[in-house]
Amino acid sequence: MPMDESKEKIEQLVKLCKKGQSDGFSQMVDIYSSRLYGYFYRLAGNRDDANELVSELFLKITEKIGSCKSETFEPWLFRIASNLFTDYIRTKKRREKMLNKMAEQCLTETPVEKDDGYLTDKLTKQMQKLDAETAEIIAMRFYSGLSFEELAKMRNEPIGTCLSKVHRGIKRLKQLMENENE
Amino acid sequence: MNKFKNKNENLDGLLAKFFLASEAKQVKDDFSFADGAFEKFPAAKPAEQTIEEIKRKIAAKLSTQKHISWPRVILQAAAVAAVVVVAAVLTWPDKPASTGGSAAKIQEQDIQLVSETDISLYEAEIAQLNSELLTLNYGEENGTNGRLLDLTEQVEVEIIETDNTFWKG
Repeated sequence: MPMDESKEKIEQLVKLCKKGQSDGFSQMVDIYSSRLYGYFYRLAGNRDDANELVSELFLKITEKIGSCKSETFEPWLFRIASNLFTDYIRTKKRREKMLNKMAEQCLTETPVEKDDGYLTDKLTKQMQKLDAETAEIIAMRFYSGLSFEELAKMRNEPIGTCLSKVHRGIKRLKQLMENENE
Repeated sequence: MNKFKNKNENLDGLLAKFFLASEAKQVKDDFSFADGAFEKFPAAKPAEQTIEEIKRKIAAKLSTQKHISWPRVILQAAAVAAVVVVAAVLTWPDKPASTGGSAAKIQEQDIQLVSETDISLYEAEIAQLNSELLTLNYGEENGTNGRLLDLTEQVEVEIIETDNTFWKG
């Protein structure tokens, strides 16, 4: 998971992308796809959705790259990822609600299939038990590599609040993982 | 790699700002736990096929963005301009008001009042000019022929102007 790409290299890459150079975008996919995939995978809890979200994100970037400042590319990139995930959650909730309603109408006893079947690791499984905002801020801090200052700025909240949210979330996650071991 | 602490930020300084010394140590331990968990249970990686598919989609999207059809753009711009012109003509304030709202009714009443007063004035003026013309034509005015002809023409012009003004409103 390369997080040490030099700032200059990223800035050059953004310039290339702004010119519409396909090669620039290819390099960007190589650099960021793993981190973004990890971010979406932890939050969505399954590979299919993570694939779809990463794909959609890069296509969005090709449209919006013009509005990005090369020196703040990473916060910009993860902001779009975060918005995309929020939309995904909304759609998922709507879909689940609709499926539940249909299930009630059909009077079937078959439970709606949950994502648990897709989960492959303990951490991702426990992260699904956190509320969406907490899981998101933890995944964001880990995969974006943003400082707390950048994170707070992106979330438009005081740095102390951001720090405290991440810490509370990790404490809860720790509890969940320890409980599962018992 | 400790992802929760490896940023170019002074995490110790930051924690000291918001937590007591004992709490700050606990927070650091919890962050270390999180780093350990993320390393112990690494996230799945995107398949090579997925990455290639993304690159292919991006290339396709970029190529469509580059192929701008200028005749089509001009045609679209012309269509938009035409719509704007039509809209401007239809909503132009000098256009006679439609028979709908109260504003339109008030304007109609105003026009009627003005017209009634003006019509009688114009009619009187036309009648006067007409009698003057008849007088001139029948030679009832004293004076030379040349002057009379000039006057005739002048009166005729006046009649035509008054008539035009009347019909223009």
